[in-house]
Amino acid sequence: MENYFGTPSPRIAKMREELLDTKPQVCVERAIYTTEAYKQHKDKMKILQRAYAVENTLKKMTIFIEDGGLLAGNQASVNRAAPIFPEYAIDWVVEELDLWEKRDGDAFYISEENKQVIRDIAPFWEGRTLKDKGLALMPPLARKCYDLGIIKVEGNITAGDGHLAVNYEKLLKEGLGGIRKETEEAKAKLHYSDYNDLKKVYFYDAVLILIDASIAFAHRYAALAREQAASCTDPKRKEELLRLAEVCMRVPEYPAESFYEAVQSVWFLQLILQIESNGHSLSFGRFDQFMYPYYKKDIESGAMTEDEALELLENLWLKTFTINKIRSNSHTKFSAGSPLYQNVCIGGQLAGGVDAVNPLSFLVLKSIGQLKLTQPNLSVRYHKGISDEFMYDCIQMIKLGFGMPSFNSDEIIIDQFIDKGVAPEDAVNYSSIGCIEVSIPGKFGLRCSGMNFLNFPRILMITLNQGVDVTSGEKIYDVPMHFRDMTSFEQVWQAWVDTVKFFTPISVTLDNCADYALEMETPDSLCSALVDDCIKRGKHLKEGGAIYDFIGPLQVGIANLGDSLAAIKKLVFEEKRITPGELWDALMSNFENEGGWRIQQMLLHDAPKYGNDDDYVDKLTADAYQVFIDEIAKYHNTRYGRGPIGGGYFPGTSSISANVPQGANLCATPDGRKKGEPLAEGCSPTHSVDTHGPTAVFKSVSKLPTLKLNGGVLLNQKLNPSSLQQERDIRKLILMLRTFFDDLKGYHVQYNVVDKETLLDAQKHPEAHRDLIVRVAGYSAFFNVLSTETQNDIIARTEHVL
Amino acid sequence: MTKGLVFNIQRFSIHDGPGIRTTVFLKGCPLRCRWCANPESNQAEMEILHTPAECVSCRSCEAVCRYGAIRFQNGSFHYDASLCTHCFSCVGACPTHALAVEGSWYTVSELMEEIRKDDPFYKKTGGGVTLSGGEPLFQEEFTKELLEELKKQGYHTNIETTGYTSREYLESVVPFLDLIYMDLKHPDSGEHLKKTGVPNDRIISNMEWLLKQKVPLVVRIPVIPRFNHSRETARSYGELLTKIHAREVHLLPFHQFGMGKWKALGLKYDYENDKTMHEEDVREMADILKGYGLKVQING
Repeated sequence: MENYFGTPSPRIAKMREELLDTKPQVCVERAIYTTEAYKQHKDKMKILQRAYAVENTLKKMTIFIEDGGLLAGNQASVNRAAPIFPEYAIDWVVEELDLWEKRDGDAFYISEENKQVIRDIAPFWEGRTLKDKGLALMPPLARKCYDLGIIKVEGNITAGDGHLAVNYEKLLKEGLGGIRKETEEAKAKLHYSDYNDLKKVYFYDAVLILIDASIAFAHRYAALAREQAASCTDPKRKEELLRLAEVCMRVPEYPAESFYEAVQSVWFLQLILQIESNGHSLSFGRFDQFMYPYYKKDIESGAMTEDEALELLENLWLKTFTINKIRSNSHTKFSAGSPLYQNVCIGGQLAGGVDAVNPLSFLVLKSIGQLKLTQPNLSVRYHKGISDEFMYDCIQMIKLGFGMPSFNSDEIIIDQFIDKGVAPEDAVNYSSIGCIEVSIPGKFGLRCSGMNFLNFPRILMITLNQGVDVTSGEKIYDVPMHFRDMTSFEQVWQAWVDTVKFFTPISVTLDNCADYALEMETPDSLCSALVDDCIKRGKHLKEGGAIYDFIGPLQVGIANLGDSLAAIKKLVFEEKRITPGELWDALMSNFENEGGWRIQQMLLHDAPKYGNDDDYVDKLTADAYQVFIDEIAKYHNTRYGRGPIGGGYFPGTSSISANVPQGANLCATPDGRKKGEPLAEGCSPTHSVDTHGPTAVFKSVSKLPTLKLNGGVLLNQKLNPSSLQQERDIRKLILMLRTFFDDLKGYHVQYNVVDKETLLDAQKHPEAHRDLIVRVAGYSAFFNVLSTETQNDIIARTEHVL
Repeated sequence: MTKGLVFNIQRFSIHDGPGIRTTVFLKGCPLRCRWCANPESNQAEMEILHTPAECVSCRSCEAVCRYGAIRFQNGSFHYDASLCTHCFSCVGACPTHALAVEGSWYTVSELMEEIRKDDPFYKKTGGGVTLSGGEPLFQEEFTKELLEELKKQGYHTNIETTGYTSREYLESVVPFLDLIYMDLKHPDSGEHLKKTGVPNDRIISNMEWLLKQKVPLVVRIPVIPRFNHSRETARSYGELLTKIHAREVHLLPFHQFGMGKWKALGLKYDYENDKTMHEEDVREMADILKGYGLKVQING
């Protein structure tokens, strides 16, 4: 099919092909150099040990420049290889070494020799990792919920935080040199006799070590480029390499003076921050805004053509795509497709509601549209004043079927931030992070999205079962009455309220344990140096260095919860078609007892389902969620009262792919879902129950308390490709989106435009669909690398034909 | 209060007129087109529809039917419409919803409540409400009341009609219509009679009259294999339509969405072996019609 955005230049196309052909490996270099530095600096504070570890890695790791590449900077010894970060966790790494290439989804390859390297360094890390410390911090009840998987926070103690956009605007204006000067000045003002000042010294020293290491790292590439130029016989390539060498000598140390330098500078930091930490969702922020002055200047002066800019952008996205991350087998099911969620945000508005779309916004669309890769993850900030012309190009990209861009809407998100105490001028400057989450670039703390998954239907079942977890048979807490003995829906409702009040503080406790461990064990100093006001305050991010700091834990199974409550209310207590005992027995036998399947059919067909614009169930869903929203608002994160505005939690529904594993270990539920089936994802309706089309789904979703769902309201829609063939259909889709955002105050929507036949064919003939990309939750992934169960989950999503 | 028998309310219809619309499908039709995509719409009464894919052969329906209209023979479902009294106890007994009643009675105000749900979408997109069927003008009294109410509340209205109705009735509803999509299945009356059960003279006369009244009207031609899918028919259409001063034509290529429903109703379907048509299959006809100065669009 012809690509609306055209095709990339031959050299970019070649690099893209090579990357697509690269099997993801595991690289052990960072693990070796980190271990080495920790051993060498064993007497130092953790924050300095970590700085030395990154310094040692940047100094010694393999570097290379791709054939024909215009940018420098690689994460691992080969592209698409995932480094190992032993300081976060080593146990699963060693346990699963031999299993990586046998995984159903997200397979990785590692040589026998490198397996031995891991085994050799592992003993040093035993008892020293973030995971060890995090687990040790958990009080018994919280630990029980963690072990049973009722609340999933594994990702928070086995990897870094990520989930932020740093101040790239400042980087480009001042260079790392400018930030070094600022740090040195702040350090010079300290009184070492003052305990509070003394603590800051180590943070500042770590920043200085890392800034110098980063500049030296860039200089290594300058030397390599010069070396390659010396032996290069092609005069054009030779010139390019010499230019690259010059650029790497200037940035990231000095302010960027050209678009080329700006791109290279941003890439160096985007890369180094992902060598410092493996926290994913490290996002670019409002790329089309902070890069535009450099683009404009070079285009207007004639120093660069649009085609040259396009090539640089595409080279940047290819670089972005080379970054990889390996997760433990259990965690990878929650983040299927090994996504890095490096988000690029474009569009939106400037102060005063002026449309922020500029020529670079269009060029970013074009470059990402030509490449069609899983990274970066492109989000468009929608607002009332955005032009139809820009929206038209966005829909053309959606038509390509790789799930991008997704839309976040200014019409609700700016108000959400202001409601949380964010200054209006900062709220207007928000950017998307990772999937669908949002924060203020350069001013917001780590992990704005919680990666703490609370399984709503499972905790409801625990309470209905008098406090015993159905999955494990473990008693979690005392509940006075079993569902069997309930005589009114009010009792069920009270049980839900009690459930939320019981599990919310446990969820917060687990997050706080993770954060406490992250603060003590694995501070990210370079990342902190690029977020206001860490340097001024002398605090890294986990100590409260950011201006704003909220965490958005994630709730999974919203639609299942609402549908379950509606079925119980209507069929058991209003129509009395079944008794609580009959329903319970059917659920416990997975509808396989005598008459069980009849009960299942009744639950499926005769109870209203969220997603059909039916107030009965939509209101129950919203009310049930509101109970949690009110409860979580009472709690604080570990930075509360230590500097940032906020210091609290807010709810969010970016379930990533958690709906699959969290459904896999859950018994049958009163919405008619059978044991083991996936839960509904995000705020989308349960698969295939939304029979009234997309406008009805939009209406149902809009009845949720969106203003308070700062962590995001994820809505996936699937469209049949035939629906977007006609020009007039595209115009109608644009207007439908405008209605959802302007009038219904929707938060987010994203599309999968791949027909079912293609997906089924890809399951049968993966080799023929090597670059088939689908939208999973808030991100896109290669269909082939997903596990069969996640593939099936995607195929099952209701497909709307316009 | 007049009630109308509705068999589907389809929100987010984008091929039934301008903008995003809600299409209300009314039961009952004077024609019997052999390819009909909505055969369940033919009768202006509630009907029983059986979906074999959903049926688990539990025989609950057979057990409750007091008239012997349902029998399981060799494990499969058989329904005898002549014995059925439409008590629908079988539908209530069916656990999997394999048996369903086609059609529900609505008052105008009940229907308006459904229609209102997508108000924000109509407003933004210049959409509105389309009445379809069956033949939306078949339930005369109800349709007129509905159209009158829709117009009173400011909705953009469209109908998808066979045009097979009395002039008098047509005149009474025209004031409430912003747009009319009228089918002409074949330009030749004899052919028309063969495959639809009625001649086309009344349809053409109504169409001509509407065009004279300057009511915005689009002629819709379902392109059906072995019936009107030919150059020759296209030319006859062209001549006829220019004579009555039609200006805009939609060609709707044949599709197979209705096949399962014919089976579900236990009816014989003549087009089982015909392939779904695509835009390219009707392009030649479109070009011929364009040659007559008509504005032609393929698909809705």
